[in-house]
Amino acid sequence: MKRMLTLTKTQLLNLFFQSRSGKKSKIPPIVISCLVMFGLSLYYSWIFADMMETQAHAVPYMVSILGTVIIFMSGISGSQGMLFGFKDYDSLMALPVTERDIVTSKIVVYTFMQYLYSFFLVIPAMLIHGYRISASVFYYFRVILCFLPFPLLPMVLSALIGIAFQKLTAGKRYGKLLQNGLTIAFIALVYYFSFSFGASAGSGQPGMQVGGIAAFLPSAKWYVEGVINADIPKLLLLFGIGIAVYVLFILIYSRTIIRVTAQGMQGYHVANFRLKKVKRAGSLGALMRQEWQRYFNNFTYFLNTSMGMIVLMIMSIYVIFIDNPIKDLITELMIERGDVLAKIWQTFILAISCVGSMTCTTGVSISLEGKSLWILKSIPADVKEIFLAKIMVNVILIMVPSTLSLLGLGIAFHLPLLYYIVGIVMLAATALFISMLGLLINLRFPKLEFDREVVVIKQSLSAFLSIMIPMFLAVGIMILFFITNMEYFYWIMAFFIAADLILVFLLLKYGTERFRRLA
Amino acid sequence: MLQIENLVKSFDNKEILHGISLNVKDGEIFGFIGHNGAGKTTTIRCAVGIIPFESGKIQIDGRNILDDPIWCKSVTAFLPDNPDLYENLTGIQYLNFIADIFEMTAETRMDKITAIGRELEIYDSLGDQIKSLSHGMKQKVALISAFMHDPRLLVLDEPFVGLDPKASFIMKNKLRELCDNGGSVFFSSHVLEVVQNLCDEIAIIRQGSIIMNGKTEEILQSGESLEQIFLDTENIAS
Repeated sequence: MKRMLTLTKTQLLNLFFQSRSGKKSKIPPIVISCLVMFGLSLYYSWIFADMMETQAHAVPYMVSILGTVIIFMSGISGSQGMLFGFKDYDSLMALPVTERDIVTSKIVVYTFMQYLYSFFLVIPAMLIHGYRISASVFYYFRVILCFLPFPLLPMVLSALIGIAFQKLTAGKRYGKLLQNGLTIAFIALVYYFSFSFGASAGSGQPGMQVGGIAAFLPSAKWYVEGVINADIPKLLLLFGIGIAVYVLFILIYSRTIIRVTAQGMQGYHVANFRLKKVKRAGSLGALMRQEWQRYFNNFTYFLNTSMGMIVLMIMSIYVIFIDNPIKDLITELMIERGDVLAKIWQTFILAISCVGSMTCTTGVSISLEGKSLWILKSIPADVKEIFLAKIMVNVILIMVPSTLSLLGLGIAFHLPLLYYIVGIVMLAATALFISMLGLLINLRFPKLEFDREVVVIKQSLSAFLSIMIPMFLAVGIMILFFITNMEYFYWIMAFFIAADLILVFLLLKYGTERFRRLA
Repeated sequence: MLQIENLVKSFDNKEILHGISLNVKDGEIFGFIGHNGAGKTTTIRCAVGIIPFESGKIQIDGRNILDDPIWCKSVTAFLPDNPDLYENLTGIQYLNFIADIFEMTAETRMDKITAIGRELEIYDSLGDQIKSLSHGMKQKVALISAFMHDPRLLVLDEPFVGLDPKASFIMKNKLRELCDNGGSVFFSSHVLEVVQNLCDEIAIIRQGSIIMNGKTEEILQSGESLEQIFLDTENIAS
């Protein structure tokens, strides 16, 4: 037990006090990120509470569902690297500690991270809700205390799926491809079921729909209903099942976790290798190919940046084939009211751009060079070309699914040609904006020292900023668009084009110099 | 081939290199030795354009690394002390990446990779993922990437660490072969015996300054081994 605690303490210290400069920072960067997230969550919870005032308890349900889904989805990718596949495997296994101690310490650290992610999303909304319904002091007590078992069930489920994926794919030549394919299929399945359940459970009323979805996510339902109604049986279920599942997971899966970690570290071998003639590529092509290989070989990187676009694409194609009253209503509205037609398709374009803003591979692409940065710095490739390769990959990653979504919505709602033309221009402008902004952020806050790539992708300041800044900017622009009666679409487009030009200038002037100074 | 003049480099206002000057001539193997933290790796990283420096001048084949970095890098190959390659790629994917960057034709790269790969006995493992390779095997992949584009200047940081005796022997021969063809080699090492036997010229660095530099036979003329000379310089300095 003592050794397990020592292991856990050391790993938490290593996680919290990682800094870019190598100097120990007084305030851990992760704490700053959490405080920012707490503030933003408070702000947005208040806004949503205002918007959904007529629907009782809609915000607590919404954040609990969102929290559960985030824990579940991020757990599938995050478990790799944090829970298993850890790089310190060799050094830990050589220590006089039991396998269970090692795994338990990893699980505790992993759990801690899941608490952090969900705490700053769920708790502010619950506090705001309590304030607005003038809840008693016991409500706040329940909010905090009952949060303890809240992430356990989705976390264990996602870890089990992560382990299953890892067992199926680790050490195989096309393992990563298979893993990515399985994940996409899994996400599609989850969304399909959530659409179906949401539609059938809610009788068309948004507030009830949220409650209906929660019925299929038991920990979210038990937490919200237990806390708000002081429903003791539900709270007992939340604690009992959450803790039981968690303990059983540690007891049963310790050995499996060690095994899949060892399996995953081996890489793959090819028997009877024969050199084949390959077509020569230019240096830009070679740099881009290297970026693609890194992207598709890193499960967390892929999942973290592709999920939004995959979901959007699935939804846009789904819309073509479904019969839905809302779809019919929008179509009718566009036919009857020519004046709203443009506003509707402009909203579609902005919505696709907003989702695209969540795909920022450049935000960590410099950091991910890590100890291999010497390769890029010593090869005869221009820094601008290196930047271009990174930006192009990100732009393609946004543009391909965005364009398909644009097409899907265009076909579903019979939109005019202008929609496609303006849409492509807008998507290209925003894709370039996200990619260049991400690269600049990463050049400013690189994290080249790390033991696992997941630390860079999920926990670095650059990753946080390159996701949060575009996301909040996108949400802000959407809000601005709606409160100004959807009049300023072309001004928004002009803003992004102008911002792109500024970013090009900054990258050439400041970015290249910054890259040269990286070591 | 490689000229370093008055190189000054600082990290966080702490000066690490205090005006280093070295000259690696055409056809010469130049050994660079010093204790841990003396500034060998920093000098090398400045020389190949990985890190910037405050003042001084570095020229490769007459061209300034700051003014013409791409040209300088296109005639140079660099091998770091720890070959941190792209772990998720296979050996051959990495070599093709380097070959593309150096604009090698499909035929040339095939011939070179096959020849050097077989010579270093790594050919059969080139289809394996780099992360599955041992340190020495990674070093061999990195060696192929360094030699395959026929560099005129080869800069190596501790190149013999992790290599098996046969690979070390082959590498020494290849270094000599490169110099016989007019190229130059500049490398750092703690294996003083290799430096003594292989190098035409040697420099000793201590705490960021060159304390001894000259032709190997001139340095060894007292009859002492390089190890003894190196230890003497350390004792005098301390």
